[in-house]
Amino acid sequence: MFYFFLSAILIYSASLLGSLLFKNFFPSILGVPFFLLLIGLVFSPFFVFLFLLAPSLHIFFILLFSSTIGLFLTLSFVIWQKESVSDTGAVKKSLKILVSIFVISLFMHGICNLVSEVELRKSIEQAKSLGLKLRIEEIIPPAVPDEKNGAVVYEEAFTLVDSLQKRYKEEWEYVFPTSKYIPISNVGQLLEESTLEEKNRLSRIVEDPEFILLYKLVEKAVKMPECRFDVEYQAGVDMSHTQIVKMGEAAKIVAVKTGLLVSEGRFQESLDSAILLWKMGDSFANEPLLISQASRTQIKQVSIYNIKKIFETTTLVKIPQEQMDELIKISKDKEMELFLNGFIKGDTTVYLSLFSSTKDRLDGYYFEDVLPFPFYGSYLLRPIFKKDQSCYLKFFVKRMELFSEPYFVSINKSKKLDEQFADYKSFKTKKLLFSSMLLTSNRFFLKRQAEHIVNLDTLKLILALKIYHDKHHNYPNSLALLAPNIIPEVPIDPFTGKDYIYRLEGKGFVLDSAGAKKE
Amino acid sequence: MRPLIQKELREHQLFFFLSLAFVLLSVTILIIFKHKINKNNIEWIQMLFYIAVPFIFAVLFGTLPFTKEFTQNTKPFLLTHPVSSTKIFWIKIFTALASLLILLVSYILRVRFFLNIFTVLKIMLVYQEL
Repeated sequence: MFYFFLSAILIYSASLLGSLLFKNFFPSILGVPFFLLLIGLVFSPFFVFLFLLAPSLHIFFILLFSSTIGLFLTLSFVIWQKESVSDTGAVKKSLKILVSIFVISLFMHGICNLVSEVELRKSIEQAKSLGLKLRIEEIIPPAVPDEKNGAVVYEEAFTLVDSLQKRYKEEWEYVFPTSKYIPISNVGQLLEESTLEEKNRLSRIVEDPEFILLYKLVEKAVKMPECRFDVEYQAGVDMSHTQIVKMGEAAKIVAVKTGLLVSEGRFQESLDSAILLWKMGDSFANEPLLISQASRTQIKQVSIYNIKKIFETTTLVKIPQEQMDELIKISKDKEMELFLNGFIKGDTTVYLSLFSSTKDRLDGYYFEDVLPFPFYGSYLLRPIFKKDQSCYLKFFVKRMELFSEPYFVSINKSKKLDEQFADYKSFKTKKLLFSSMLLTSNRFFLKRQAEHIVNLDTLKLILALKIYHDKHHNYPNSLALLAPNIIPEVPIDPFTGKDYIYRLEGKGFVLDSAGAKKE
Repeated sequence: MRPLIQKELREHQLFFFLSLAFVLLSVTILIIFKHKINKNNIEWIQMLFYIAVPFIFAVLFGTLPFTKEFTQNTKPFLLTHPVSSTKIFWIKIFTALASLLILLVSYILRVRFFLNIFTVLKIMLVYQEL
């Protein structure tokens, strides 16, 4: 209602100016749109200044309307006063005022541009100092020759996955219904809950000769020294993630096999299969994207789920020494770094490419329906654009700092950061188009990271406890006894900052994370 | 100053009441032809009532105070009054603005009232479809 009256007053003041200039009824009425357009053009750089200055959309519109109305009234007054004295020179005087206002408007715009530029440069420097890459070319993993590249073997396996999915449509639909997304990490739990008949149906897939071949190919692929998928990184936000999706599908089939072997009590084979899954996850270690790192953690999660399940049931299975060493030496810092590289740095750079070629980007992909300004990258809106970019960078710089700290510390800082930046409905962020679209709350990612760390830590502790048990024929009274002989140091629950819950129970033990449950 | 304000109001009087009559007439027409309102034209009717009509008033009230002085050539006579040209300017502007605002407020109140009718009509349309 407020804007209804403001708009009416704006049109009223524009028609006042028209009536004083044209001195006739109909030309004055016809001149209203022209005046509005003219003032809009003259004032547009100033509007950009107001837009950046205003703390809320409401205040911005009030400033915009009142300044325009003020200008119309000033021009009308000048013309009236001038014509009261003599009949000439009124138009000339008005034009002079318009030109001077345009110059002032441009000056304000220039100042805004300068301030935004300085702010952007600061943000870029800060981001660079933290290792954030600003161009997609910088995050692309180096090329790997085919004979050393596991991805080439995976490609062969993916064709078999397609073929199996087609032939066992019904069985596949049971595990992964098209109506509901089932993450890879849930496969183990899903199989545990399925009936004997359902398991028998699924066994048909893993007994198929094509699956056996697929399994062999995966075994071959994980043994290759490098793995670099042929992802079109240069396409930026338009890049397709076909290989990553296919890898997920392949991992799902292997996870089904692992789960079935566990339920059949074939523990040694299931352990081998779970370790294969673990290595499949590692194939994504160098991929600098959120989606690939998310797949990696999910594949590892199902692997850990099965390994834990096996050790819950039996202690007779043996992990190959080489694998045991790798699992025992799982470095939390390295995992956090991988998270940071993929979850944060990679995707930040990919989305940052939107800023570097805004005009081209606006023509394609999903932003074409979202962006209200097709000329967002133009000179006029440059200060807003720069501010947008610097806000985006600042947010990710702070996010990178968050991800270098344990969850119990970072979650409190994250709340503050979310309040600062991710009050997404507020004008402060919403007026910056890309930032409002791309900035998301940190909590989800932080929790995913912490959950992953808990998974890795508990696996590491279970294996260390098994080694201790093999040596002493009993489990220790405290986890502290595992370090430094078996593991360098006892990991801390990232949710609480304290030790994991550990107690002896019967012949076994209970190991848990209090924080993960609470969360 | 008061005679000037009265003069301005007098000049707006005719137009003010004509506008008021127009509002009443348009709403009456709407009630008479309510059976013609359907989901295809209801948006247009609402737009006409909420945007077009008030803005037409704004344009007309904006052009009225000064063009009259020019077309009837009464401006030199007006300036002979013992009131400064600045005062004349602001009196003209504020009286026209006051008339416009009064008209808009009364218009909004009426539209608000008939907005309920629109809502009822919309519900009726939905029921008809069901």
